[in-house]
Amino acid sequence: MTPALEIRGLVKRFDRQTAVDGLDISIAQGELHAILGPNGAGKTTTLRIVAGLLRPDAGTVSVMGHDVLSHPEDAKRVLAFLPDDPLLYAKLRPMEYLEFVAGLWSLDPATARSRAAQLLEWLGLADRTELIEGFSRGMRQKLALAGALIHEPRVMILDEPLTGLDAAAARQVKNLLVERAKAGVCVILTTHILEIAERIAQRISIIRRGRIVAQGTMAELRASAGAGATLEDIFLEITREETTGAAGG
Amino acid sequence: MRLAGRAPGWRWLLAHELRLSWRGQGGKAVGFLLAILAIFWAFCHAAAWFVMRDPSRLGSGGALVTAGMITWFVVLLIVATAFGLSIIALFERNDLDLLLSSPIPARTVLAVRGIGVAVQSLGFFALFVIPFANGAMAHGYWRFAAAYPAMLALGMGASACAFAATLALVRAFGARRARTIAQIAGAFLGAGIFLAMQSFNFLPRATQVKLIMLSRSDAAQAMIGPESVLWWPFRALIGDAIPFAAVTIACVGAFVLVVVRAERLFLEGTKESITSPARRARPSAEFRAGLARVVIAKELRLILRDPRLISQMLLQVLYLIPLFAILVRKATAQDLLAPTIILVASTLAGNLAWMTMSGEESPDLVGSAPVSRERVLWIKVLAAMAIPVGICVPFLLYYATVSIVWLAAFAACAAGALASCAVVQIWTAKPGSGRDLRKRAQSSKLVNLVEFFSAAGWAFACWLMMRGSWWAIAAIAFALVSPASAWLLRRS
Repeated sequence: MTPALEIRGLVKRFDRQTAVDGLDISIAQGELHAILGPNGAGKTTTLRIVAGLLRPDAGTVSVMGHDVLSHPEDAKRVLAFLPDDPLLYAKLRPMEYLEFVAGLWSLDPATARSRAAQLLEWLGLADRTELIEGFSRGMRQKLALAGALIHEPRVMILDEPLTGLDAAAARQVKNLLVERAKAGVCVILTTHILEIAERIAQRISIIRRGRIVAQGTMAELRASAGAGATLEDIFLEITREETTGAAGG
Repeated sequence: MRLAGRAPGWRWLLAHELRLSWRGQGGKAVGFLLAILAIFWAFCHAAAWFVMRDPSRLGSGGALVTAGMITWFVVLLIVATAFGLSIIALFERNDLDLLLSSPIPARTVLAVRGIGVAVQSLGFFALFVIPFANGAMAHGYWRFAAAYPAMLALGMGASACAFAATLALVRAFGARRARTIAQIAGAFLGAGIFLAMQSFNFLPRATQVKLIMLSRSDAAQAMIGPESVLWWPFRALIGDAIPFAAVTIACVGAFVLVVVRAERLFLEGTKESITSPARRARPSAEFRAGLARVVIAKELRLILRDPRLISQMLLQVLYLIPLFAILVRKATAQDLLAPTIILVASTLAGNLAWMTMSGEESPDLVGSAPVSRERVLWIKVLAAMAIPVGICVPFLLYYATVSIVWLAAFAACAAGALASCAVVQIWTAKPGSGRDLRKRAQSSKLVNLVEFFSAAGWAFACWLMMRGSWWAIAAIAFALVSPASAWLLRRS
């Protein structure tokens, strides 16, 4: 089966700094994959390249078999990207925002309208018809998530998707991601809350300095680190250099 | 250990307010700004020293009436400025949560904010007034020292008017809509004062003569003659005792009254603007089909829901009113109207096109969508052109009734100007620059210049075409240099 996401030899430099340094990864359809790493490890840069928002300096990226560089529109059609701080249109109402997103993905208006209503209902935003500028951080995050789900993507890329959500909404979103993965959608998320990755991810990749330094299921990671180790122990062990460096200033 | 002590007083808060205000004016170039101000002030003082050798003639006759009218004009401009500043002070500054949750009484916060508004709105005008007061004092006319307290009192009066008007809007419409209305009204007030001052010149000659005759009657002289109470603000500035006392007491009294009476409303207003949900709207029943329709709908919604932008657009339309007046009075000015409309529509088109493209609030969403960037940009610019085209349409209809040649010239040049604006913006767009038009002027001076030359070229071409000159071809060629240079900029 075609991998949902295939990255080979990905390199991205900003001036003299290398953000992504020959990264390779393959994620299957229906997999819920967590990408972890310290600040500045290259997670967001990688995800932005996959979403077609940045051009890599080297390497290939394909989404559901579509090359992101040569056929970006085909790749984007099956992809949803939720940035860590989604910028929404302050002067639009939620339904108007979803109408715009549906238009960008060329969805059938009637189907999109009913799907938008379902999503807003499910996320507890159905009765919020004011302008988005009056929304709290959590409500904005929920609306952005509704926008990411409206075209029923085959691959979902979520950068810190639980930021700003209350406990109930966070659980709702976690359940949704698990359900989507069971339905065959590839869900890739980054998070700094390691317990979430430990609990819901089928496989975990740890990035350090733009490279994958550990990858596998929780059991595989634990096997390499020693019995009884938590993901936090494993993560801190692998990224010790950065964390001690950061602590030192 | 107890860290919290007595709440700081109004002086401390005022110093904080003025420091923020100063930093807002000068930014990083405070030193440079100070140097420029010092040179300007020295020049003003030198001029005032000569002018104010005999200031006694200002206190009587026609000179007093003229100076009194100028003072009123300035006072109204101060009120307009204070109105704009009070909106920022009450609704747009994001430090109100911090201040109102501190142990400082809300009344103190309001009073200090009012004084801050008074000082800020006075600042520009004080630069001109103070040298003249100093000039008179240098020649021994010490009563001109009254200009200092009188000016501060006038500023407090203006601030009181602006605060009261803003809070009245809050009471009438609720904080959110009051903010929108106040932003639009603030912009209009300044323009309205300017137009009102010019209104006499727009009147027919016969009406002007009638009004002059009427103003010379005894009844009119009692109202607008040199002894009228109307000119007391000016007389307060030059140190006439009774007008000075009356104006100072009235202005400071109004300020105190507004602060005392409006405390509750102020708190309600600011709380609402920050926390309460806005007016609910009925969700649209159907989604639009097709990329073009949703992009155009979204862009027009964002434009029409931006009160600052609307006020700027309406101002441009408002400034066209004198042109209409000229048109009504002088039929020969008709060939000047079309080029002016082209300039106004081009400026508006440039601003809107910049806003739709560079002001894209969600570039990640659009960038990750399966549509080409170029296509989205073209649709956005199409949406931006809808409003300038709307402004041109009534004038097109007017010229259709005057001359078919003039209609064709206007239509062709307006279309050329708008198209030039569109391509300049598409070829130089930098998404993510924000939607604040003030940033536009700073972001790309070269693009602004290119756009201006294009608009000026098309406007001039229109004027030449209406006069039947073949030089219009040269003007069009000049106008086309701008989009060509934008294309070259893009390639480079």
